[in-house]
Amino acid sequence: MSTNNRYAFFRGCLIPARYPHFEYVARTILPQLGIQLLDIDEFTCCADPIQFRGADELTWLAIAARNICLAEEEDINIVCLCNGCINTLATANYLLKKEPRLRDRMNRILADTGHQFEGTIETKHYLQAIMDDIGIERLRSYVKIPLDGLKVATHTGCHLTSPQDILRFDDPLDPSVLDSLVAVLGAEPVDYDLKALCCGVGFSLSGQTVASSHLLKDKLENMRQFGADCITVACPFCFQQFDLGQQTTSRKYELDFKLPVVDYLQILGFAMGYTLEEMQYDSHRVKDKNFESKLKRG
Amino acid sequence: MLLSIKFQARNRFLERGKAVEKCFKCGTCALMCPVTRYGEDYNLRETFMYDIFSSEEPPAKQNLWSCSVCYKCYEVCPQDVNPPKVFKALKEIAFETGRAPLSVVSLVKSVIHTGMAFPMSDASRRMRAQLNLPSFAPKDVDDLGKIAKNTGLEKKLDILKAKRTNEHE
Repeated sequence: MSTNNRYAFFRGCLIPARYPHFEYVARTILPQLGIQLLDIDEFTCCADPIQFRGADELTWLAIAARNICLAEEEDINIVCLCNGCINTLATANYLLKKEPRLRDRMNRILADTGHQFEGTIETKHYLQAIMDDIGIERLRSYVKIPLDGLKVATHTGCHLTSPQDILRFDDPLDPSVLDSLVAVLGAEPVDYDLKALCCGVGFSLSGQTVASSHLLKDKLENMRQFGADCITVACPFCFQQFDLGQQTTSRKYELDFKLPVVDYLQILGFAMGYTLEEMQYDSHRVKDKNFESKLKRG
Repeated sequence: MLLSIKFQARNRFLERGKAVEKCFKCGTCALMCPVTRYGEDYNLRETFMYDIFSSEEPPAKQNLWSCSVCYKCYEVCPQDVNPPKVFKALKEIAFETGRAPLSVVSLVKSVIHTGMAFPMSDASRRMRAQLNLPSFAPKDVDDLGKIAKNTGLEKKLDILKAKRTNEHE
């Protein structure tokens, strides 16, 4: 049953530095699905596709290329846990494979680091690895306790889906893959209107807290209106917006939002029989009795 | 009118984002843009795109950095203008000329010097130890210094530093 595909484990930096519990959950869950993780200590920040790429595209590309080279040297594909990381790694890998002149220029820049981009590996977000290596139907066999009665608002996020011609994961304007991955666990994905709307992290990064809360208010109200018990994400930046940002938004608008936010690997873990505690739910800010009672066992 | 480029360095700008000339001002990008929808100063006529493109000096506008490069405008544009590419070009000009927000400059420096965009906190170190996670500190960050030198980023940062020192004197 096991696929035992080995991957270079690209942890990024927001998860190790701020949300280490997601790294713990990934190390707990992924190997059980046959996704084996190899640590490479030389990996650095990806670097991010919003601000660093904006400031200096050539350096952004070179840093991403060096990270890809490290996995190429081990002859394995990369798996990561963050939409920002996959957007950078997949875009760099795509551009450098496609454009020989750019690759030559990049290899001149990398020459004195001892690394050279060859274009021999794939880069994947863990959701892509799950879809490619296991697939929806086989994932069903890992479900021990179906999440019956749990309504989930999924938020796939922008940088895992766009540009669609590079990421090749889902329709950025009407995403549905994460819904299918939630449905196979026995939970019910809710088809809310603002599913494709960005989490608003760009506002938070540029200090625009009013705009960030306004966006979150609309999105959270819409999720609640469609009956969601919780939110599922696959990115630490989206998580930060919906978890920390939900508290700020609740206070600002005097609306008592209570939509716990879980990473897909956590909700998969619940269906595999892990408890809330084991999946590090205590590390989250937004908690809700209704959600917790739906996951109570036996 | 959505796009009317008054930017004085128009030609240099078009060099980096030539497709902008194909824009027929349909406004579909603005309908999908979260910055237009939620940014305080915008509405359906005064959009984020309009604000940036009609400015005489777009790289000077701090609003430029609100764009989270969500690519919705790219996905819906019927003319393949690729607005994120244009914004990226403007951000690069802003960075080179010392007009990027300090938070962006700090982030760039942090990545180059430590290999991380976000520093490790003591709370995270404790939590990592509790969860028995392996230590986390990127190795061989010297490589990033070499890269910054070879791409010209190091030189840009030196110029920015000198410029700021002069301004303070």
